[in-house]
Amino acid sequence: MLLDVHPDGPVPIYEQIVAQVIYGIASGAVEPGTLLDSVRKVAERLVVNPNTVARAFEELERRGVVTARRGRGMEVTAEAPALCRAQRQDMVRDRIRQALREAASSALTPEQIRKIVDEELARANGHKRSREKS
Amino acid sequence: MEVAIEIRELTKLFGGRAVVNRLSLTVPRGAIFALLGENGAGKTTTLRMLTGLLQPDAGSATILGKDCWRDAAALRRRVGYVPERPRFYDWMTVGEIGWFSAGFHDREYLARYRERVAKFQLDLAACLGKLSKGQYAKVGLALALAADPEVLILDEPTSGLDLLVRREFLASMAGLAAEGRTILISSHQIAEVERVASHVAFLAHGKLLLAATMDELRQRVVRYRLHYEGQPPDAAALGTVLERNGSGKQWQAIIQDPNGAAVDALRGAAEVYDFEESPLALEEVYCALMAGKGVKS
Repeated sequence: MLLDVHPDGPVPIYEQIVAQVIYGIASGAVEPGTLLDSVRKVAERLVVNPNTVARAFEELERRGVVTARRGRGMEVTAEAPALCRAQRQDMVRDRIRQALREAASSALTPEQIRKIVDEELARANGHKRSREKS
Repeated sequence: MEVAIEIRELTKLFGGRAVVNRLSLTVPRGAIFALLGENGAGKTTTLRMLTGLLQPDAGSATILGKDCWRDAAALRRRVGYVPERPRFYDWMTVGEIGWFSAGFHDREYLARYRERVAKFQLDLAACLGKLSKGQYAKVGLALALAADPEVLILDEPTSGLDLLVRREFLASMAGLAAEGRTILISSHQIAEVERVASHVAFLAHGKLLLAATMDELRQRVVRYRLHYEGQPPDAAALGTVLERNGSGKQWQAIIQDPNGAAVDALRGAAEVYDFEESPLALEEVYCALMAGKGVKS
């Protein structure tokens, strides 16, 4: 799985790892039964503290996305894809909520906001279609 | 929590001036603990007392339960140390210095040294005096790591190293911590400390300003931003003010150890709107603490 963290961002590193694993599973890039790399391996590759990685793994386990397999490491559960798709939807909803809050506080009218959302939605769908073609 | 390094009221005087002034710190086992501070803050002096090279004038320091000064000889087998500018016998080759150092260590030392040297892509036949700064630093690290130390003390370990070498070095720090080893580093490289450190302590003029885990730090130093009507809020009511500024009706403050009740009151105040609170990047915390240390007194 490809992971990439931004330590100086506002989101704690462990949350970035959790979100990326969830996105990876939700997109189908990581399938049930896949073993996550060891804490040590991930820590070395991302150049982050191993405790941070361990904490991200614990959080993923708590959410039912991975489960510890004795002596083998963390395995992606059978339920993970459905869970991750739902969690990804929550994360996207959070971000849309934040953007809308900002739109409301910059004194845009609901009509103006709706127009922006429709335009951006059309653009996003166009982007998705062109990606599917290639 | 298992303690690896315990520093209590540690003090060192140079010419009557306290270079390290009643410093107390606890480093848990498995931590990557970063000491941050300007030049002259007392970081190197602290590390030299921990490695038994300097005798404290007051207070105490223990590593793995042993006194750093009295038990220095016993600790030397268990604690690796790389000074900021290591000096070796420059007429030796990379291979010879490893063989020479192996005489003071266990049987596997030389094998571990050679393995590390290969990883660092150093040439065993190269003469130490002809190495680049980065290669020289790597020899110091390879010698320290070959001893398989439980605790590793590094003074500015990555200064003068190329970016890629630094990355590689930090990745090996992460790996060593994953094995349960404890690493204490002093550093100026805030961005890389932010990546790998689990704990951080800020020093100024020999005194501790703040020590926290990286997670705690997000709660202990916070930025508040808001718009207000009428009178600007009283920053001092929120906690220790490290920085405060405003323009027009905008107001911003960086507060150390904010008081939750006071923050909630401000958030709910009728004349306050667009209230935001956010954690700071380590570099911002560093600058705010260093700039704010005069304000506090």
